[in-house]
Amino acid sequence: MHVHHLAHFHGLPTYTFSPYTDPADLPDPGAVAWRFQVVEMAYEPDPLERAEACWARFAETVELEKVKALVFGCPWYGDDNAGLPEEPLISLNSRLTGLEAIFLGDLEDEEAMVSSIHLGDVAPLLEAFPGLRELALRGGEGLRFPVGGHDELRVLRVESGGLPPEAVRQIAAAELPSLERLELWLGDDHYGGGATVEDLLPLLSGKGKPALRHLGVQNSPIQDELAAALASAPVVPRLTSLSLSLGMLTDEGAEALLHGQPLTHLRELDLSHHFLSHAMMLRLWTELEPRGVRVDLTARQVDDGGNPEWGQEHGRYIAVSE
Amino acid sequence: MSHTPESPDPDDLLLSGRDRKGELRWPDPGTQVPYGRVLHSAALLGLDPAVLVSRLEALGYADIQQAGTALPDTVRPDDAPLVRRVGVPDYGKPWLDVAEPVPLRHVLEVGCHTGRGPADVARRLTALGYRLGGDGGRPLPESSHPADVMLILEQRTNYRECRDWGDEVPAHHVHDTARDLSISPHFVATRLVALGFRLPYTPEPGDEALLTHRGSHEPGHILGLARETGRTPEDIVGRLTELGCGRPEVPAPPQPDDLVLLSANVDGRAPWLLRYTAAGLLVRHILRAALATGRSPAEVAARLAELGYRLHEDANLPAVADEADIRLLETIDRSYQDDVHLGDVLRSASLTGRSPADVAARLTALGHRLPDEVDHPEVRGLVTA
Repeated sequence: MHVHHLAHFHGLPTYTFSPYTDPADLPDPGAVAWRFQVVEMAYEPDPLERAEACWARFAETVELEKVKALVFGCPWYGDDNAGLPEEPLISLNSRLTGLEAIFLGDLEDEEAMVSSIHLGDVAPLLEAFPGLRELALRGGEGLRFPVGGHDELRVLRVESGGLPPEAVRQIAAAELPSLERLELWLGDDHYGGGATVEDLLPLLSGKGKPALRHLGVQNSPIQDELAAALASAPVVPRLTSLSLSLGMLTDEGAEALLHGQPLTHLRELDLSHHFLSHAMMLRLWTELEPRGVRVDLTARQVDDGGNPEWGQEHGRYIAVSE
Repeated sequence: MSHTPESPDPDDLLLSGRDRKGELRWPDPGTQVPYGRVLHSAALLGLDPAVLVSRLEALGYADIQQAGTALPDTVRPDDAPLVRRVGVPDYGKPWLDVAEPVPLRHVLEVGCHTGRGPADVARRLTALGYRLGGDGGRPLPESSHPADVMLILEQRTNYRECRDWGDEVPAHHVHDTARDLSISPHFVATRLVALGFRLPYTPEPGDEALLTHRGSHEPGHILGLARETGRTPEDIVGRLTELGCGRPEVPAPPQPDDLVLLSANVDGRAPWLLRYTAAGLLVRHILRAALATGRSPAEVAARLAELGYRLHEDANLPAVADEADIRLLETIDRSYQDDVHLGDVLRSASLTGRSPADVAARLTALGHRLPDEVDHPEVRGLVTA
């Protein structure tokens, strides 16, 4: 699966800001998710200068107080950790008083491997914007999340091909009293991932996130183990939707789910991108759909057995790795 | 002028070492001192150029590049950036060479960096002894625009290659640039003309509406413009051709419902249906258009075929458009080139409230391929859309 530039974020269409656009032609500040991307040119003497100029132009032409959502691509985020010498957001937090949502790392595969997009420590950003409601991150390299948490964050999403286990533990343990939706793409240990069920225990126990209603633990080679853990996890009864998509879920994991605690209180169960048999797909659907659970079983993948010459024991794969 | 080691002339120290900003070391006295370096240092040191030249000669610099005209009597501090090439490092050739015509790119880069208009930069460089490229025919604009340098790049992915004074610019450069920079094509065209470039056409304000990033060739776009502007489709196609948009076809003589059929949302407005897509014409669009116009699906498909839209050969149109079929097809993101698998059938059943068996049967009747050999259940889900 390929990740793409966002077309929508925080319920708003994205709009890529150009410093050359006549200000009179810019959209209403609160009607779009403002997107920033400056494509590097060959032989350009100072590409970061152009990015700085773009941001400065935005700050002087748009009513920042009305801006609700921001999306940052390259060169602010990339795989070489270059970034800009100054944090573009934090210095303007006194003017971005209406900011509700931030997406960091909106890069496509051609720009950088998902697993290599450097994110760093997001604590200063969260501290600078205490009213932030949604934070979405694409990448994983170097990610650090404050265990002290954030009082107002309602949505946290991390898209990664290899989410560092330490970051997973920090997020799992974080105090996020308003958090309603959490999605973690755990990724592959070959690309910096490797989180285990144990790393997620505080999350699965329901601690620190009393408002959680949607949980996604996704894109993982241990999807079966995660399913087995969720079959008895205290957090599940209070959820309205659950996602185990994008990973290597097999009949074993699905069987554990069906034999575990009831799931019929859920409105949605997303198992898309999976390695389930047709029989298990039909069983899941016929047991849950008539009871009101909408089950997504699209994107079935086929285990081709792998290549023994390469030491592969199976041919299963997660949706987004490299 | 001589000074003791205990009280050296400060300017001599600067001249013999680094300049006021401490960035550059003067070349050895045996090498040529570039003319631009003379003006730059004179501007920063507050010296008349002739005085600086005398100082340099006294320090042993025998070869000082000349312009071929007299040195300017004086220079100002804001002249310094004009003679320094933007972005060129110290170890390169940072000084604007007075032996060569000044490229337009330099005028625009310096203008953007200093906030001075291109005309002002050009006038001052001439006064400083430089000669400009081009034939000096059309004066440059008085004010700069932040996009000026980007406008003259041949491609937005390569900073090195750019156009120069008076070049002829191909028509596609205008809308490629407008698209890449998210600015008005009309602005790009008029700005390029103002900067002295030659376009194969004369920009008109009406061009703005004709040029969209996608859809300029589409019949809906052409017929929609004809409706808005009162121009004929032939006239619009002719202008699009002049503007470098290829050679769009003139749509078949329009019929009353054409704009509804050609609009993606069957409302007679943009966005318009695209012709050359991998999936081809979508059956759900045909059915929606049929309901909106009162025509049969077959009539809609036939008319769209006349307008250049292709329906996949496997598609099996129903005789009558049905909201249930439209709803069903909206839940399937598969074209006729793709197989519809069990997961897709189950998902559609979830979203429509129909049983998987019913969904599978109907999709098969509509021409889709369902290769999975399974017994689709008759049971329905509880949740409906």
